Parts: sequence; structure tokens; C-alpha cells
Amino acid sequence: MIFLEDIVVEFDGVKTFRAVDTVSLQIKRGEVFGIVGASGAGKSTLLRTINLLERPTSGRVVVDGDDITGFSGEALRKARLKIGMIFQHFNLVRNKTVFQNIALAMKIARRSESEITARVTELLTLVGLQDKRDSYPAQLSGGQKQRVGIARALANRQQILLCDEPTSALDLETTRSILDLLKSINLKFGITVVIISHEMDVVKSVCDRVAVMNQGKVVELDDVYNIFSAPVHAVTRDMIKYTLNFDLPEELFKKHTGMLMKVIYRGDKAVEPVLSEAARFFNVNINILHGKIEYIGGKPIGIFVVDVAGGEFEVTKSISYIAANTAHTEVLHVN
Amino acid sequence: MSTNWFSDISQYLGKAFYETFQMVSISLTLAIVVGIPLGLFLFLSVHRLFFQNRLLNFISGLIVNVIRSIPFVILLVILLPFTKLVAGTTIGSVAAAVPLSVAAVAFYARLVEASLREVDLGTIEAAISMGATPFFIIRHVLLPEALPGLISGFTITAISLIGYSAMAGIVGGGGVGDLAIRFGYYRYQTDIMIITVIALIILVQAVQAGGDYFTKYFDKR
Repeated sequence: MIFLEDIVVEFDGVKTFRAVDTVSLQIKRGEVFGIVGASGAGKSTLLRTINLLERPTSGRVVVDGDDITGFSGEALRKARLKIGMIFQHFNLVRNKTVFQNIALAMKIARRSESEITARVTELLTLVGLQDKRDSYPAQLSGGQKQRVGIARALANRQQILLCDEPTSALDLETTRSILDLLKSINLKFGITVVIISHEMDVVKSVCDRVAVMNQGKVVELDDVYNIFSAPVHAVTRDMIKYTLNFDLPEELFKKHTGMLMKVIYRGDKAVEPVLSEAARFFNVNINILHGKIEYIGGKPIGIFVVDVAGGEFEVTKSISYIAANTAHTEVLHVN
Repeated sequence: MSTNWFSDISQYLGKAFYETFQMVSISLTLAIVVGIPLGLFLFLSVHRLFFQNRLLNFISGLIVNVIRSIPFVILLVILLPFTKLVAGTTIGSVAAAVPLSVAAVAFYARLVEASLREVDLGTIEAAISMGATPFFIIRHVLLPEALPGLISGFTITAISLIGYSAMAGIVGGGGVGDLAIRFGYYRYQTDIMIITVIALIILVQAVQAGGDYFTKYFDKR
């Protein structure tokens, strides 16, 4: 378990800059925890306090029951051996082979040569790079480099994996495969994974819980489904906007007469019966113009744009009926 | 003249090459033994991730800069008492190797520092996150990553030293460059001058080619 208490990180400059402002978090053992926010929100700095790459100005960092905040020298290095970390730009040693890069982490932990050979071979199979053992980083693709990074970060059987924008330098397809690998490692070994990202899509697909950061503060923390289906804070809404919105053609708004409504429903309630009931009860016509269903954490979120036509009174009644029976409704357009 | 001329010139050249080799190899050895640690120190002492010490960094940087500012001929003369102390004499190629070594150490230290700066900080940070000691990072990350730069810097140093060693004639150090100056320039023996200069060009080319080969061989970036 990772426990951050009232973490403040300030950087000295002409003016003191507070990158992380009094953040407290509890990350449970075995969960995939996401920290999202725009660049400059302080998420990377926060992540780096967990292994004290960044020392908090004040606050406590407790990892698996040890308060490591005051650690330095050998004690800190010992603590760091238990925490793996991967990076946006992979940070591999370029003049060492894949094997040597992974072995490096184990050399630091003073493992024997035979142990290293056995474990590295095992790790190469885990990340699917058996045939790249003797390649140099320059000969690998971005995704392969990140796989080496992951193998290196798990070499000493770390139970915590910190991921600093792990997919931001990768294309969509490679991002997918790296996230799948992280998720499978999490499920297989029960490793606690902390991912920071500026992309909501990244956390949407792998995280159990998400903290949203803005200007150094955590503004919202919830399980991933709630973050996406019922965002509370304006920053969260803004961030998920691209996931839950679709751009409707301007033409639609121009030509359209009547009422356009966006309806969002959450897992337990299906939307179609509600819409047909509303149509039946209030004698209005409801057409679905656009819609999609996203599965987040295995639960669906549906987003539909519907057109409600009928008498003014009936339309109003039907809309309040729909609103009462779905998670969120929003009038997009009245004409 | 032909046989005599030829045997004379090859004798001169042979001796001169031996002297150059002696001076340059002594100073290059010292460049490695002292210049690399000094370059490391210059790099590590500015670095937040290692042991930042502005004062020591400033002092060592200043010493290096002072040595590098002084024209080599003058350094040669200024260091005469030091040379006497170290080599026991101020004459000959071993004596000339003393100021050459001083110049080589300062020169190479800066090149070492520059190639260490080229190492990606992210890689160093990754090693820190893995729990590595500073010594481990220097030995297994910093130096391997900087190796191509260290080799190409070594090549540049070697070639500069071949040039500097021409001035060693002032203290009777001899060497190929000195041969060109004494016979070719002072005695108007243009043929000797041309031959020695050609020999120098070949030597420098060979050193550069060797250096380039090893730089490339160790550079996996």
C-alpha cells in the first residue's frame, strides 16, 4: 500500500512554485491507480515523490508501512529496490543490450550471475522479447523499448510499478499493447501499478481508480467508472469531454426543428426502454440520431443524442421523465 | 647524395618518431589517469543528482581554464621548475612530456566533461530509481554511455599533443615536429621539412582513423 499524506512539493525559482499542493492519497495493494491531469498539473511530480526522486517539501510518503520520507543513502536505495519505475522516454542505457539493461537492475540488487541469467530470460518471455535479447535499444521500436523498461522495472520482483506517462511517446496501437501488458502483469502478479497520463483513454482502459489533478491539487478521486459516468469537478468533465462527446454536424442543428437532447445512462439502467416508455406515455416521437456505448471497468456507459418531437407540454413532460430515469440529460438544441 | 641522404633522413625520422611516441604516450597515459577523474569531478560537482559543490567546481574549472589559456610554449617555460622537480631534468623528451601531460590533462578533462554532459539525464534518473549507488551509476551507466565521446575526445587530445610536441624542441625534447622546424625551417632543408610534414600527416590520419573506428565500434546509439 502506498500512503501519501499532505504532500507538498515546491520548486525554488524567482518565485516559489508549488507543483504539488497538499495531496493525500491512499493507493491500495494490487490496484491500478491512475493520476490524470493536464501538463503542469503536478501529476508527474507527485508520482516521483513515491520513490523520492522528488523529495516533498512537506508531508509523508509511506510505502508498505515504512515511512520513507526521511530515508537517505543506503536505506533509501533499499526502499527503491522494491519500487519499479518506467518512463515516457524509456530511459534505457543505449550502449547496453536488452539483456544487459534488464540485468543492470539485478546487479544493483547484487544478484548472482546465474540468478540474473535465469530471471532475465524469464522476463524476456513475459514481455515477449525473447528474440531481442542481444539487440541494442536503437534497434528496437518504441513499444519494444517500453517492454524492456517494464522488464527492467520488475526484475527484482518489485511489488509496485510507477509509470510516468508510459505510452505518451507511442502510437495508438502500441499504446494498447503496452497497457494490456501492464494490466496483465497487474492481474498475474498482483503488482500495484500507478500510472500517470494526460490521456483519459489510457486510464479508462486499465485503471481501477483515478485521481484527477489540477494546479497541484487532487480535485476528484473515484473509481474509474464513476469518474467517466458521473464526473463532479469541472476539470474532470473537461478531461472526459472527448470520451463522452461526439461532434454532431452543424447541418443537423441548422436543419433540425424540435428538441435535441443528449442522454447519458449508466450500467444498471438501459436507455432504450426509458425512451420507448417516454414515447408511449407522453405520445411524443423519439428518434435516436447518434449513440455509443463505452465499456469502462466492464460496465457500460451509453451516450445518445435523441430528437424529441411532439406537443410542447408533452415534450417537457417526456424530458423530465427521461431525466428522472437516466444518469444525465442535457438539452443540446431547441428550434 | 642519394643513399647517404636516404639513410640520414630515415635515421632522423626514426629517432624523431620514437621521441614523439615517448612524449605523446606518457602524456596520453596521464590524460587518462588524471584527466578522466578530473573530467568526472567537473561533471559530478555541478550535478544535483550527485554531489553538487559549486566552490570546488569553480576552483577546479578555473585551474583547467588557466592551463588551457596559456599558450603551450609559455606553459613549457613556466613549468620548467616543476619539470625539474618531477623528471629530474629539464632537457629531453621525458622532460618535455611533463608540460605536455599538464596540457593534456586539462584539455582532455574538458572533453570528458563535455561527453558526460551528453549522457541522457533520464537514464541516470532511471538508475537512481532502481536504487543504484552513485559509484554504480558512474561505473555502469555514465561511463559506458559516454564511452564513444571519451574515445573521440581521446583522439582529439592525441592529435593536439602531436602538434604540441613540435614545440618540445625548445627543451630538447625532439620529435617529428621539432625535426621539421630544426632541419627544414632553420637549416632551409626543404626536402626534410616536406618529408617530415608528410610523415606527420600520415601519423595524424592514422590516429584519427583509429579513433573514429573505435568510437563507432562502441557507439550503439
